[in-house]
Amino acid sequence: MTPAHPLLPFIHQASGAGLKVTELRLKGRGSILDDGYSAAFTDGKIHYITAPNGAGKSSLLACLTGLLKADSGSIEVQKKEKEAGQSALEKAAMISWLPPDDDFTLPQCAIDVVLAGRWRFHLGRPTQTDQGIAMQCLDALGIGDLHNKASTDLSSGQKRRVNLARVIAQDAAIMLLDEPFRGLDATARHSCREVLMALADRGRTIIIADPMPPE
Amino acid sequence: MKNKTEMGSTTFLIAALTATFALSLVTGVSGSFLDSGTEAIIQFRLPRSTLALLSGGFLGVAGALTQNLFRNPLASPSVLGIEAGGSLAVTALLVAGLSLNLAPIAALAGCLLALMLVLTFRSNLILSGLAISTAAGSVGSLLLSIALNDPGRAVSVLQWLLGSLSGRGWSDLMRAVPFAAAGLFMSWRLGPALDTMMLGSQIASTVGLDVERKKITAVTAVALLTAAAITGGGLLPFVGLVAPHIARSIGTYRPGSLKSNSIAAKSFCLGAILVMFADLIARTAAGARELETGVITGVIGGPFFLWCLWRQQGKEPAR
Repeated sequence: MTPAHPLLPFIHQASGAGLKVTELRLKGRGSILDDGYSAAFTDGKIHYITAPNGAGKSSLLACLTGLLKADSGSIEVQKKEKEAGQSALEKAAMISWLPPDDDFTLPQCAIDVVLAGRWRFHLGRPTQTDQGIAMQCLDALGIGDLHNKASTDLSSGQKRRVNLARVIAQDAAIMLLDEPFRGLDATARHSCREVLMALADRGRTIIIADPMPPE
Repeated sequence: MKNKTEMGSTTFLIAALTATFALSLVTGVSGSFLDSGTEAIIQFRLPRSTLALLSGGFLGVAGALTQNLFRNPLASPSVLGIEAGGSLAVTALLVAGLSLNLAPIAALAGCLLALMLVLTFRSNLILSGLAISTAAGSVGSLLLSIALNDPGRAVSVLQWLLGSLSGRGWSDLMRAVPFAAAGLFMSWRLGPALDTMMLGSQIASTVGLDVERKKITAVTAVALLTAAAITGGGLLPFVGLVAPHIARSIGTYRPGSLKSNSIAAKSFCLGAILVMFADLIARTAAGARELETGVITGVIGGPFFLWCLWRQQGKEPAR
């Protein structure tokens, strides 16, 4: 059993959930989904989906989260068919998602953005524990000092990390990350990757869509 | 988790609100407090100032909610045509010769209808708001010209439309308050969900929020508050835009200062202060001849809206 991560003690070892995708098709969303996409993502690993721009990576991830509906094919979570009848909270425990863009149109404190990721735990009433965990997530990505800064005033790389911190705070079994390293400098990229590796070591399934192959 | 300084800015706003209310009570055309006597204050200025305070406050909260709901800092009940929709419905009610007691219900229906239209054409939010306001204004004029056949009725419609705060009293307030109370309660309960929905519906749904249900609640709350403001204080353009804007710039960088409920509370105070000041100008600037309060908020708010647009342009890269 992997010991608790020094920066993210709230992440416990979990027997993770795998994700199996069979012949997933959606017309007009790039070559990946036109041809039918099949893959098996095992738990405890970081999986990369590397394909050129416009190949349909973002649409594929949106299909896996359930935000986009595929024309055909199946998505199995934990060897169980993903049902439409699942509640929003059950889904949130299974799958978290980092969108390709950081769209902060209204100002919000960075810590509040991260706390939004804890919704399935606090349901609108964040406790001290939630606050502490949100801080841990920001600290782990090296942006703890920005916790009270307005989201709209952050640089693009800082916004990316605040959004990633929100996904980590959600602590879902499967994390779908759409270009998580975009706009990050080498140091930030390194620390983000370390954190993601630590999460994978503790049983999370991490799927990263990126136009560049991993270093 | 509110710290001292965050409470400080809210306390300051409440103090400013009280001071403005007191000023509004003692100031009139005749000048000082002593000239007019207590009777004028209790009979005329107290109900009017209370109406100004509350309708401004309701519009401030409605504006903050609208901006969160549409994730657009330029949205507000007047810009999106929600006020125009509610006002048209009340005009129709009066032209039909029905009782003014039904005004809040008509206003609510009108606001909801306008909101449905805006939600349908939300990809071009501000333009659809413009279309709704213009169309509602034209239909209103049409109804008014029909009402001209019956001069008595036409006068009552005109009085309502042009009156803003003048000629309104406790009865108008009493009609509006239950709607506003429901709207304020819903808005307050919705606060934490709005904080999450500020990140967009897609993210909000992946973190486990039942977005559709919360949106319906938010739309209802906006309609209730706007309807209450219209029934209480008539058309007061731009209040719902200006108040949340200023609220967001007060006490930032302090924990909790940008949370929806904190912004809503500050918007209430700022909207109330704005309308009370506008009403003060309306009552006193032109001597014995009264101006419309709505005209004053429009004159203040119009340039403010343009300034917001200009600032937004500055933030975008040059094309």
